[in-house]
Amino acid sequence: MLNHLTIIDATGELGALAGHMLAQLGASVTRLIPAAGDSADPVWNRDKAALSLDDADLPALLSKADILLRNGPLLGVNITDYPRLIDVLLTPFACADRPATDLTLMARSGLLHIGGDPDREPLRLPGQQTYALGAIQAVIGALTALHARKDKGQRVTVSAYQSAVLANYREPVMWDWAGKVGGRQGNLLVRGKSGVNQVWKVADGWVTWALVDNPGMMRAMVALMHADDMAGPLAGVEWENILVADLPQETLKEWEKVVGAFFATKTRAFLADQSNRHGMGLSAIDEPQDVLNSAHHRARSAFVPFDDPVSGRTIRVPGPLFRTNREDAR
Amino acid sequence: MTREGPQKGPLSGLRIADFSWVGAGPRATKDLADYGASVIKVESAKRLDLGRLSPPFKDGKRHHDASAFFAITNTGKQGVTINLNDPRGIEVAKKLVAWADVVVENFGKGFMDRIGLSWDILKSIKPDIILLSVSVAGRTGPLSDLRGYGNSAAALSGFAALSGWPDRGPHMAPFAYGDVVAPMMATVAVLAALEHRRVTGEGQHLDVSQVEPMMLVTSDCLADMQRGIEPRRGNDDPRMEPHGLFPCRGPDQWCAIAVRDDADWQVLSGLSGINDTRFTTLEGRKRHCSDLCTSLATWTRTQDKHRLADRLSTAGVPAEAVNDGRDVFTDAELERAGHYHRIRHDRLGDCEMPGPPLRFSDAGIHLGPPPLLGGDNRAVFVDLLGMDPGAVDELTASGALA
Repeated sequence: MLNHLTIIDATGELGALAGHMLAQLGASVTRLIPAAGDSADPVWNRDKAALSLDDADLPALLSKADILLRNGPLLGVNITDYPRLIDVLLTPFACADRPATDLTLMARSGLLHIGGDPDREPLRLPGQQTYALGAIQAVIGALTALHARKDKGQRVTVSAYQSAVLANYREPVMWDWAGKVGGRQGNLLVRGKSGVNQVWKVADGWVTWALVDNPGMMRAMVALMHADDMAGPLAGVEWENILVADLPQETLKEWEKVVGAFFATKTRAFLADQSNRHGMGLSAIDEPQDVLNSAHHRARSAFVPFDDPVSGRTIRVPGPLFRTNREDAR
Repeated sequence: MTREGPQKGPLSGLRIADFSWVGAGPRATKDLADYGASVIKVESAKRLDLGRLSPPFKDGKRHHDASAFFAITNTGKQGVTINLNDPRGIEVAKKLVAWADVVVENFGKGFMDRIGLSWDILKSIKPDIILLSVSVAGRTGPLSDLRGYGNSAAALSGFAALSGWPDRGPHMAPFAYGDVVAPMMATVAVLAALEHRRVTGEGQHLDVSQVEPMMLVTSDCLADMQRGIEPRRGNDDPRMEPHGLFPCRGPDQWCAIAVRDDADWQVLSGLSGINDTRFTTLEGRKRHCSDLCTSLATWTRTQDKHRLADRLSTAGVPAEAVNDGRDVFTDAELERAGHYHRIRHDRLGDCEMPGPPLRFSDAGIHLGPPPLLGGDNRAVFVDLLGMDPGAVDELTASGALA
């Protein structure tokens, strides 16, 4: 889609995903490697040409580039010398000048506070999610500026911290509007006055499902339970006339006990298949190995082989960002 | 029709017909609206966007125009009501398609075909139209019929299994991360398709799932698993030690500290008074991490989390307080960065909404109010699409535009 674009990627760990995404969309991406090396996981740099920052002819590169991705100043470069360039500056903070890592940004954003179990310390999201969020926002900024470019590029500044705060879409707004501060709820999804369980043990592993305000999904699940005569009090619920989010916790616990007893008699595959047929909103929780072996992901060519320099082996990594009818037709 | 602040938005002039609801579609079109695109959100009073039913509500009173959750997800859009189960409503929807550059939907698979708004029909109305479909697992493949929420995406992408402590089962983040990442990817997809259309004149149908972006953002974890490295590792990082949360003064108060290298440790050692040669190198700190973390926790336990974080950061060691929603809302960094934008809304009053995390040197970002249910029916149907006012009244009364 973006085969006509040229990108210079001078970012490190914070931002490597941005260049990778643009490369996945077809752009020619050249990575500038600083003398001290680059700590980003090689999965984020796999579709980029690479040049040593010390050896690169930056004026020649930037005069041909559409987009520059960077985390800070490029020594000896005056960006205004390249008026068509879209200059994307991705930093931990918009204003504060303090050191940061993915963990500390996540802590400050509030995303850490709500993650994990009540009996332990807060828990981070896996991987480097504040870096990922900042990188995707950098791509959005770059392509938005590209859309606006007539003859002249512009600078886009992106805050990884604010990207993480935006992802924490509920907690600041709950304080602002309801004066409530959330906490760690384990696998409970708290909405309104009550919390509902999201992770269930089944006969051979785990599934995710929750009592939610979607009457169609609730009716489909109860019908399945009813077929085994295991629906109990759920059989009589008129889902259109209640709001699950407002039910007392005791009622939900009683209902969830019934659901849990039913789930314990079923396998992941059975429940997932029934959900797919009848729209119950349930999914099997796949371990990473299940994900790599998934027939669904295979059908969508979601993974591609990668010669991994870390392990020295060919591993499989996520491929296209999304599908389009153009590419499917090729 | 474009909502503009003092400086024109970078997407000014772009037109979006938004049939999406709840989170995964509306967050993408919110981005586009905040950057200046004209977004018309199509809803129906007969089938309310579930976001309108989500708390918190203004003054705690439930009303379809009073949800702050809906508001932050739909800033800057205009709102119309069209009953998509009524063929007369579909004819009006087609007029919107003819007006639009981009059509967005996140219905179940096949719904757009059944109501007469298939990809082929959209193309026949506007040959270079861009259609964005957002779904849990994508529009092709064995799970393409799956209906669900962000928790399904977390389950099928491995995100839930990668989350948690090594000694416990999967953890489901208490918010729909798929509803965060997928709309961002959807925005990327639309912008890339617009650039492709600018160059080639071609539209296209974009199929964005929630699952695939969640796999993308955990590519490093999935790679680690294949490298034989435990991917579910709580707060640990194989390249840093200490790297975790340390207790501070007060109940459930924590400070995140990340020691990136030996130089960081020297600074922290000097501040904390923990002088132990076992901790000089990363290897030593990893081997004796239990003793190290116990000593460090003893030092942090009596300190205020914010002051400790500031003290360590000033000395060059990455550290931040583990903030709750109140801490985040009142963070001076967000105030300085202009993160919150003031809007005026008929039901919510004067209030502040979070805006995008980026700034343009030569373009403005302006957040308009979220739409009232059907609040822009006349402006859109009569003024924009040129429909006869009497016909609109009749269609409204008979339920086609409701």
